[in-house]
Amino acid sequence: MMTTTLKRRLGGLLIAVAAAMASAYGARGFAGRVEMSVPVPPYREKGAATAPIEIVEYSDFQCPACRAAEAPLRGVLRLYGPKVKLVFRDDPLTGLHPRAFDAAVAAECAGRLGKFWPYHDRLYDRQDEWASSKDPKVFFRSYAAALGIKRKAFDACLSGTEAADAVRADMQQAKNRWISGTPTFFINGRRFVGGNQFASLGIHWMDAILKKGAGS
Amino acid sequence: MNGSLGDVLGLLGRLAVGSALVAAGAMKAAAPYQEFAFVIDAYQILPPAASLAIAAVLPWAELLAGFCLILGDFTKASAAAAGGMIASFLAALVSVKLRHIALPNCGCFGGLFHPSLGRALALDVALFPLAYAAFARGDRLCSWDKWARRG
Repeated sequence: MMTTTLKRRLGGLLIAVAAAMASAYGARGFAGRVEMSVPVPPYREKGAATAPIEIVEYSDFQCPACRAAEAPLRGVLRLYGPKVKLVFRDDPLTGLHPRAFDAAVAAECAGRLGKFWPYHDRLYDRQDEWASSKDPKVFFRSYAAALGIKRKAFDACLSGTEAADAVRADMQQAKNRWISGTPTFFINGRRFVGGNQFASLGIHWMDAILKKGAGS
Repeated sequence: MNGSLGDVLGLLGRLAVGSALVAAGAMKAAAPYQEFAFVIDAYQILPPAASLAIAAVLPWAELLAGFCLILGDFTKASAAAAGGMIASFLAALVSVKLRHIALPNCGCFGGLFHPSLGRALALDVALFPLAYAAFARGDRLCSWDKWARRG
């Protein structure tokens, strides 16, 4: 039979469990983050709309971990081909990477002028070059020129507010989805943070999705 | 012994360590556990699957131990658990420092604030003796355990 002492101590433990749950729930409210939907422009999507796997990537062009994650991501796109759709979203971590926001705006402008993905690849492939530059816009313009983007249109976009607003909307979306590190991937809604989680666990998750789809 | 300096230190230790664990645990438990697993991965100590498991469990362990300490219930067990957690955080931080690994943040308090590596180390060094004080004398003053023992 349970002693009074033990009963009382277990009662205290129940209070501690309730307080733990309430405080975690309260902390979520304290942060005031609400899910919202920000539409993605079609030029930031790659792959068939009907693909069974959708990868949404939140990334920062100046982040070395995001560049490192490009290799497994490109490998996945090659390997899974038409079964995968990739959606890119901006989350420049401006506190850590002072040139990331401008790079995201430049990529957004390239997208509006029809060259998002080649520009995206170039920013990652040449990250060392522009990320350490005092004036990265010189590089942003030269990448645009190399891809055949008209200088005048690109400059007009860079100096306008629309592309910057689109990047800010993605940043807000990232904040509302509790994204604190980049790159963060959502594979059919399941979150994988960083290249390690994506390459080691995300691929198993994609296989499981395809297996389930094949079985049904 | 009620009211003695040791008992007061035990109570203060309980409240300080308990509050720190509650703040750290609540902010981590509120966020998706994969975010915390990403920070654990950055320490380069555990494989990704283990990081995910620890990220899912550790914030709740911190919360439970923290509230038990504040309440003074199962004081010795929760102080021992808190001491073990603080010692492992210290070991992880020291190993990162020795290996010159740059962390995105220490992951100590989730999104609440990001102390530097040095401050996180100093905080853990300060909390460890307080956890010991809570273990040794924490159940003697204003504790649920004391009330429960009265029968």
